[in-house]
Amino acid sequence: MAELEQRYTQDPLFWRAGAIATTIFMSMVLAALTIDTLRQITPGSPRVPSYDVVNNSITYEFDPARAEYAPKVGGEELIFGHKYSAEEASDLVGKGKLVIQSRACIDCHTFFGNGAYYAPDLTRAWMDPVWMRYAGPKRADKLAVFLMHPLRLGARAMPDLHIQRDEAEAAVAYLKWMSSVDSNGFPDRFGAASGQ
Amino acid sequence: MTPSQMLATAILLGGFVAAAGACGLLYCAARISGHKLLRAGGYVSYAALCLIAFALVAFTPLHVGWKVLIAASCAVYLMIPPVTWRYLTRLHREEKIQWYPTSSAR
Amino acid sequence: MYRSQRLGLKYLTASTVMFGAMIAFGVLSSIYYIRPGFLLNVFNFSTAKIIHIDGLVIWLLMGFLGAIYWFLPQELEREVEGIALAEILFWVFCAAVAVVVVVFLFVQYGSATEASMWFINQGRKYVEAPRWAALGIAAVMGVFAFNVIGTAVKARKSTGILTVLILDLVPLVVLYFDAFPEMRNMSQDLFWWWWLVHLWVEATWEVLIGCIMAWTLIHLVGASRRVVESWLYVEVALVLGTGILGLGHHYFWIGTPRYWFAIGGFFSALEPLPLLGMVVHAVYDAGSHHLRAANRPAFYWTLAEAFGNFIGGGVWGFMMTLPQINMYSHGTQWTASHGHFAFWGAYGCGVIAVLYLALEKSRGYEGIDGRAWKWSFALLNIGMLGMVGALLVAGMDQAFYERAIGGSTWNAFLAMQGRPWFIEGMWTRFASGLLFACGYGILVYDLLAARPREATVSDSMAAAGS
Repeated sequence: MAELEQRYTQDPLFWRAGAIATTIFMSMVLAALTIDTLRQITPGSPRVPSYDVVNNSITYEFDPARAEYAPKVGGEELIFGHKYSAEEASDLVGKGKLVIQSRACIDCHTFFGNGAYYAPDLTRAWMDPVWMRYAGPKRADKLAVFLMHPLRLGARAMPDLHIQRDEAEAAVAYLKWMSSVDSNGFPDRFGAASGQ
Repeated sequence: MTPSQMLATAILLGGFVAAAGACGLLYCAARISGHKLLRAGGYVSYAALCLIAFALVAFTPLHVGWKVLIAASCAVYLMIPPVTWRYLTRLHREEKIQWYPTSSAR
Repeated sequence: MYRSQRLGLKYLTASTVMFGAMIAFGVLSSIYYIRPGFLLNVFNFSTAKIIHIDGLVIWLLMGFLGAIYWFLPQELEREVEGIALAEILFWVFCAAVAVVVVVFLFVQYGSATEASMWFINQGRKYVEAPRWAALGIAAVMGVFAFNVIGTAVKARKSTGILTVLILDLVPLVVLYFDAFPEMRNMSQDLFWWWWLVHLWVEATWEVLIGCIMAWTLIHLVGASRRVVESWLYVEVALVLGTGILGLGHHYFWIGTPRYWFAIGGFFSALEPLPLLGMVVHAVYDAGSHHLRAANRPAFYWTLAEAFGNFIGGGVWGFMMTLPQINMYSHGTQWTASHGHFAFWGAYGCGVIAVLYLALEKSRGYEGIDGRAWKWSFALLNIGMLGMVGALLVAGMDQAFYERAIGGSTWNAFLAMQGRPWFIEGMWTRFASGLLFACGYGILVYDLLAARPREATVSDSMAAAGS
């Protein structure tokens, strides 16, 4: 037995075969999981609402069944005085993504915790207690104005990135849609500390 | 999980892998030099690894699956240095390696 | 010297310059944390950080290319196929990097149009460079792959190490396609983005540096090819066996299904295993050569690579990888601590080892020693430890107060930034960064001024068989 073990393990080709087999197997599992995951994160799925969720109210509440916080989509709560069709919402959110990329927001902020750590996480920015004092339509306006003319709040100032009104509205719509995505409870206890 | 438990668990997890590394380092250093102090250090890291694994299993609020993984990892980490050492010495013995520094390429 | 090796030296030189640029913008980035409102609306944090992290990717990629162009002709004992094209593309690469940096410096961002994506800033982390430059990088890497594979084909032979490298180059180049698209759905964007980032730095790059270290060991200490190749296969099996599904540890919070908790957490927890094997191997090699090698800096930087990879990637990573911890450590300075340490240990140290090896061989020295490399080694590593330690303390404070207690709101974030341990952490990180920068300065001095090692009495005794 020991001789067999030695003969195999001393042979580089044994390990080469192992490396190839392991890589192929793991890659196949990853491919299968990727197909399933992509399906589950397509807008309109239970985890990722479709883009016209921007027409609805979105809150973040503790779900006892899951023992974690989860976004909850409610009744109609429009932004910018407009009810967006599915296509309009998709275009608006698409433009919002372009705003976020063109200004490299992810190089100061985090989205689902990914990005830079110089500025707050934006996953639930739509529901941040600072904005929650305003009802949906007014909140959207306040947020858009902030993006266009950032106030210096606290020691960490947000720069003026020359965001135009239409870009600001698109970015706000993006943040609203993104806040409805089920991120498995991240960030935990968002808003709970301030009694929301 | 309270915030304090979260930090304590994280520190234990890091300490767990660090102890495994110390085990590996000291085991090999002891095999090379035969120094008593290094061997003692190896046993101390070995004990530290098991102690930390026990603390993680018994005192942290990690889910049970992770605790099983940690216990199994503890056993595997203990095996890696001697198994790797044995493999490397056999491999070098086959090649009849010279242990002298050389700057020329093979 | 082969033409390919001259090109390798050019790439290694460019890599060293980019390393310096990365450090400069890293030190700059750290100032924003300690001086509120620093250069606000003139040169924002985001721009400084972009040049810092993109500089990281470029200096390491150039280091890898330099190493491979250096080793490849010796491996196959012939000139590299398509070398003339590669030489032209080197200058194109450098010019593209320069243009991208100039645009980042002076234009910084554009409006929300496709033109901004093509010419100014794509705004996705690590791959902010505009699409035209991404095309350039893809072309450079494509030609590089052609150089490697074409030479093996023309030579009608390959070696174990080279075969592993060739097989690794294919996914490495293909993964770069994620540097181009702009995806509306953030979950989907991040899902594919992590394929690029994780499957580069925790899979294909690990294999790449494994091949480079294998060649380094052969040329540095005369390691047996069979030993080094066997070990490489073991490492590839373990690194890819754990790293491919370890990708799941980035899929906890981006909207993807819950099964990634178990899969990602489990395989991620196994990722330290091959790194421990590397530590054992490094100690074995160090011991069997009685901690001596003719090229002492290359030898010690190779050891630093094994240990740094294990501690920075393995220990630091394991601390934060389980989902119950990661929920709170995610997206904090704790992450930055791990990132800095892992990149340094896994890749930075390895490239520096190759710098010294190429330096020695290209100047025809028999070994390298001196005092400067020791100062540089000490300052770079102590500086890195200082940065990483400071970020760890600040990050743990952040995970505790901002995430776990504060609920990660805007106010929780702002309150956190003013906490004493956080502020001290940021100052310590800045000071350590300056130490690191000093280490870099001495490294450059040493690379320019290094003298060959003088033979010593112990060397002759070793040669005589004591």
